[in-house]
Amino acid sequence: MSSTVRLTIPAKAEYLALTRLVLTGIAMEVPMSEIALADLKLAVTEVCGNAVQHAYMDDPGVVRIVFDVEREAIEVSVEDEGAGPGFPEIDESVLIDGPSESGMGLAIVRAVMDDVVIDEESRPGTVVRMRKQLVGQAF
Amino acid sequence: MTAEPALLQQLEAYRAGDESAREQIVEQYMPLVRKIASRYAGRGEPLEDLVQVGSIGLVLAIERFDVDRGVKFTTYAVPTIVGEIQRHFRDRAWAVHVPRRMKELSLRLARTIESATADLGRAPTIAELAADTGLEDEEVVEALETYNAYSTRSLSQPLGLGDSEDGTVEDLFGAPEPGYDEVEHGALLETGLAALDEREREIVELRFFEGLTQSEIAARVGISQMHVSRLLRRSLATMRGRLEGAATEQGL
Repeated sequence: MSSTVRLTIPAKAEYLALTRLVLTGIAMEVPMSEIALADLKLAVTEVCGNAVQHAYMDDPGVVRIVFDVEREAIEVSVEDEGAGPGFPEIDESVLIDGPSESGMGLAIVRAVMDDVVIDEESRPGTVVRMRKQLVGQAF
Repeated sequence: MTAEPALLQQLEAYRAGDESAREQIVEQYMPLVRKIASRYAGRGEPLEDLVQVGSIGLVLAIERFDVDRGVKFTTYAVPTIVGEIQRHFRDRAWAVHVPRRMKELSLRLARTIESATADLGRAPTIAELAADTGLEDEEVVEALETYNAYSTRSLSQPLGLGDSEDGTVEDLFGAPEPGYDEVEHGALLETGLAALDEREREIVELRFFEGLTQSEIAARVGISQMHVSRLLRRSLATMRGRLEGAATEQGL
């Protein structure tokens, strides 16, 4: 049993909240803990936020989010078609107090999700696929 | 792989017994802890507490980091810091399932909506509800939307808060006052009002004829707003009962 929810948002920060609301909606149907939901929201916000910030230069496009809901896991893929940089790995610039968070987002996503794959093969555009196990996890 | 020569030297010094070297590493990596902790803002925990907890993760990472494994310290430290913050939430009430929390939030909001509506004389905004409950705007929207949308509870089901006069879910969600429709039927209204005792009639008149809020009525009559709310609800039910009977008789 699995169901799919698709959401396409303009690549603008003010639409990020929608992705979180969708996750809450899913969490009303699929048994998961608050903390699992919070992790999913955090990860999806990071990935979509990266797409919104970096993917499109002057011409904001869209970000497509697909939630594949299984009984015991949820898989989320986030796709943009921007020519901008993909999802950077962490580097030492995060140690400077200030706005630079280079790569920290991805590191956090990796920490809260069970499986994260970044597909930059089909550039322009980046696809991030991530999976979280909802059952049988110590969190 | 990366060159983190300064860090490697500090680690070596620390492991050779130089405690101050660890302090230096902690200080250097605190911006990372703060940035991670800020991602967890809005979950109802003070940021400072989260930074504290995160810094425990940082210290653990320093203790456990294996320089020979070929990963960057930051790469190793982030999950450790995140893990410590997660554990902090797990130890609190965050392990409950989502619908239950939403239900709790939703009931809490319903009560806030009721009293805020009474105080303001209008329906409160999302921002006002967030301020009153200490929730984030987004949580307010979530609780209002999702719980109601997904709940199979009937709106006319009793709230079951332990007080038989609590009324139903519907009562709490700013439903139009059932008195309004009948107001146009002046004669019927007289009939309805006649079914009330003196104090109930006074309250209904203050509310619907003079347009006072529940709190204003409470101050005027010298009882609590909760009591006004209860009396109003009871009065309207009494009036409705009487009016339905009268309307049937008159073929309305």
